[in-house]
Amino acid sequence: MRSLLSKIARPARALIAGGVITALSGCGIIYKTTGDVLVSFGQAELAPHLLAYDDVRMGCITGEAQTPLLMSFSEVGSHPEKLGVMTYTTAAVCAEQMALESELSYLRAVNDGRVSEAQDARIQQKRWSKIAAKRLLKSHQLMNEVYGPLDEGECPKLNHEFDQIVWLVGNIAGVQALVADGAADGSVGVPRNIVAKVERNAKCLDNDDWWGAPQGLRAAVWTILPQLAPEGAQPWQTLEQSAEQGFEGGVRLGSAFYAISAYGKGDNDRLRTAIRDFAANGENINEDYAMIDAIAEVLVLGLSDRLWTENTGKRTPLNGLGTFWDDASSEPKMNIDDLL
Amino acid sequence: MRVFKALAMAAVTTVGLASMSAQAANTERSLCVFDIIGASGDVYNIMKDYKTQAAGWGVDLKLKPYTDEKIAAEDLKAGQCDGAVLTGLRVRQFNSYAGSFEAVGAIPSYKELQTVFRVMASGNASINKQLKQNGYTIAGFAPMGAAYLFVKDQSIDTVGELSGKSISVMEYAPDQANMASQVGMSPVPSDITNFAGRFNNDSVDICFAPVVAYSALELYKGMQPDGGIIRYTLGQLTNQIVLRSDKFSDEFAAKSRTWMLGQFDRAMQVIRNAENEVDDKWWIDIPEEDKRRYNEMLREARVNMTESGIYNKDLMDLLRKVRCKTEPSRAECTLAME
Repeated sequence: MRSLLSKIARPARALIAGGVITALSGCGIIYKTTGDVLVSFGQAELAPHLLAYDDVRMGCITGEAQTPLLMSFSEVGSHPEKLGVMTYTTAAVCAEQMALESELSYLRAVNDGRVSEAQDARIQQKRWSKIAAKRLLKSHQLMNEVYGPLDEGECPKLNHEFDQIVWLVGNIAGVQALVADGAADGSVGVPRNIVAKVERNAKCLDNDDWWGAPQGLRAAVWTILPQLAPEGAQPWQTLEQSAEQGFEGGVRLGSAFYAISAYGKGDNDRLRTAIRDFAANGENINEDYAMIDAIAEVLVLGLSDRLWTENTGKRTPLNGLGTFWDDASSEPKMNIDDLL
Repeated sequence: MRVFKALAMAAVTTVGLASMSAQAANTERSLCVFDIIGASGDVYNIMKDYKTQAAGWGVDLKLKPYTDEKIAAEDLKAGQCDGAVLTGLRVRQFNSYAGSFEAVGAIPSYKELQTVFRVMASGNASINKQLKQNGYTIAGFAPMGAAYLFVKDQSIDTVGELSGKSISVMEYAPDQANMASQVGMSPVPSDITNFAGRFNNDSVDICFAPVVAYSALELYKGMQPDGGIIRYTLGQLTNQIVLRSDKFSDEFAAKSRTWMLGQFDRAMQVIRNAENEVDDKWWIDIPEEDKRRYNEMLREARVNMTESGIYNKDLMDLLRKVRCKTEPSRAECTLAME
C-alpha cells in the first residue's frame, strides 16, 4: 500500500515542485513588471501630483507609509531610487517635526526651571533627530547611487525636470542629514564632507530654473563653513538674491535658507527680517511645486516657533508667522475722551 | 465651608509662593558659545543640555551662538557675555593654566586627557585656585580632538625632513610658529578660515589640524597623491567654559566641571566618527626611534616656551606627572626638567 502511494506521490511531488518554480519565476516577472509600472507611474504621475499638494503632513505620512513598499521593488530589479530620494526626504520631515515638538517642550520646561522635563524632552529630541538623520542620509545616498559615482566637479546628466528636482532635494537632504546628526550627538555618523560635496553639486543646476535655490544652498553652506566659499563670495548678498528669486518663482526655498543661516549664526536681526519677508511673500505660490514651498514654510515656522517659545513660552500664534511678541502695536492710539 | 475656603487659600498661597521662589531662584545669565558651525554644531548641542543642568543649579542660561571665536572672546571681556565657551588656545588670555592644555606634545592620548580632566573636576583646593584667576573661572572642559601634522609628501616622516618646509600655523598661537621655526620650518600665519585652503591649494607643505577637519574641510584633497597624516599626537585641542567669576558662584563652577567631565564620552563620539572617516591609507606610522626624538624635541620646546611665559609651569608639571603615570618608561620621567 505504502509503495503504491509513494509511486503516485513521486510524480505529483515533481509536478508540484515544477509548478512552484514556474509560479515563482512567473511572480518574479509579474513583480518586476509591477515594479516598473509603479516606478514609471510614480515618476510621471504620483510625484508631480504630490508635489502640487501644500499639505506637508500628507507628504510626510506618504513618505513614511509608502517608502518600504516602493523600495521593495528594487529587490526584483526595478529602480525606485529616484522616487526614494523624494519619499525618504518627506518621511524625514515627519521625524523633524517631532524633533521640533520636543525642542519646544525643552525650551518651555527649561525656561520654567522644570529640569527633568527639559532633560527628557532633549532625549526625545535626539531620538527623533537620529531618525531624521538616517532618513535624510538614505535620501542623499540614493541620489548618489542613481547619479554617481562622479569625479570631483563632474555633473550628472540631468536632462529631465524630475532628475533635476531629485538632485536638488537629495543634495539639500545631505546637508540636513549632517545637521540632524549633530542634534543627535553624532549617533548616525553622517560623513562631514557631505557639505563640501553638496556645495559643488549645487552648481549642476540652472539657478534661474530652480527659483534661485541652488545658489541659496551654496551660500547657506558658505555661512556654515566659510572655508568652502570661493574667493570674493558674498554669502548674505547671495542669500538675499536667492530669497528674492524664490519670491518671484513662487517657491520660497531661498528665503528659508536665508532664515536657517541667520539662525545658525545667532543673527536675530537677519532672522526676523527673513521670517517677515517669507511671511509677506506667500501669495504667489507656484502650484506645481506647492509641496516644496510648504516644506520651506514648515522650516521657517519652526524657527519662528523657537523664538516665540523661548521668549513667551508659546509657539507662533495661528496665522502669526512674520509677527513677533514685541512688535509695536500698529493700531493708532485712540483718544476716547471725545466718546465719554 | 469656611474650613474648605481656608484650606483653598492656603493651597493657593503655597503654590503661589512655590512658583515665586522657583522664579526668583533662577538668575538669568548669558553664555556665548563658539561653535564653528553655529547653533547647529556639536559644541552648541552639548551646551543645550548644559542649559538644562544650569536650570537645576538655579541659573537661567541664555545661549548665544558665535561662529567667530575672536568676537566671542571680546564679548566676554567686554561683559556682553557672562560666560563663554572657547577653545583652549583662546582661553590663554583669561587663564594661563587652563590655556596651556594645548601645549605641544603635552597630552599624548585621550586616556591622559581624560585623567587631566578628572583632576580639573576633582574639587581639589589647589586646582580650584588655579582655575579661578583674574576675574574668570574655568568651569569645564571637553575634548575637541588630537591634532596631527598633515603632509603633502609621505617622505616627510622624520624631524630632519621637516626643515625647509612651509607650515600653516594659527596666528593667535605663538607656540605653533615658535615650534615650527625651531625645527627649521617656515611658519605661514593663518586662521581657521584659510589654513585648509592653503594646504589644499599647495601654498603650504604641511598643516597642523585636528582630525575633525579632515573630512569637513576635505584635507584629503591636499594630501593627494603622496601625502598623509603622521600618526603622532602633536597636541590636544579642547573646548572650555570660561565664566566671569562675579556672575557665577564657585559652587556653580564646581558642579559645571563635574557635569562636563560626564560629557567626555559623548564628545569623543564625534571625534571617533571623524577618525573613522579617515581612510587608513593616509596614516603614516613613524618608527619608535623617531617618536622618541619627537618626544624629546617637543619636551625641549615646552621647556623653552614655559621659560618664556607662553605655557604655565604648574600645568606643565602636572601634565608631565600624568604622562609618566601612564607611561613610566618615557625618557622624561627620569628628568625633572619641566
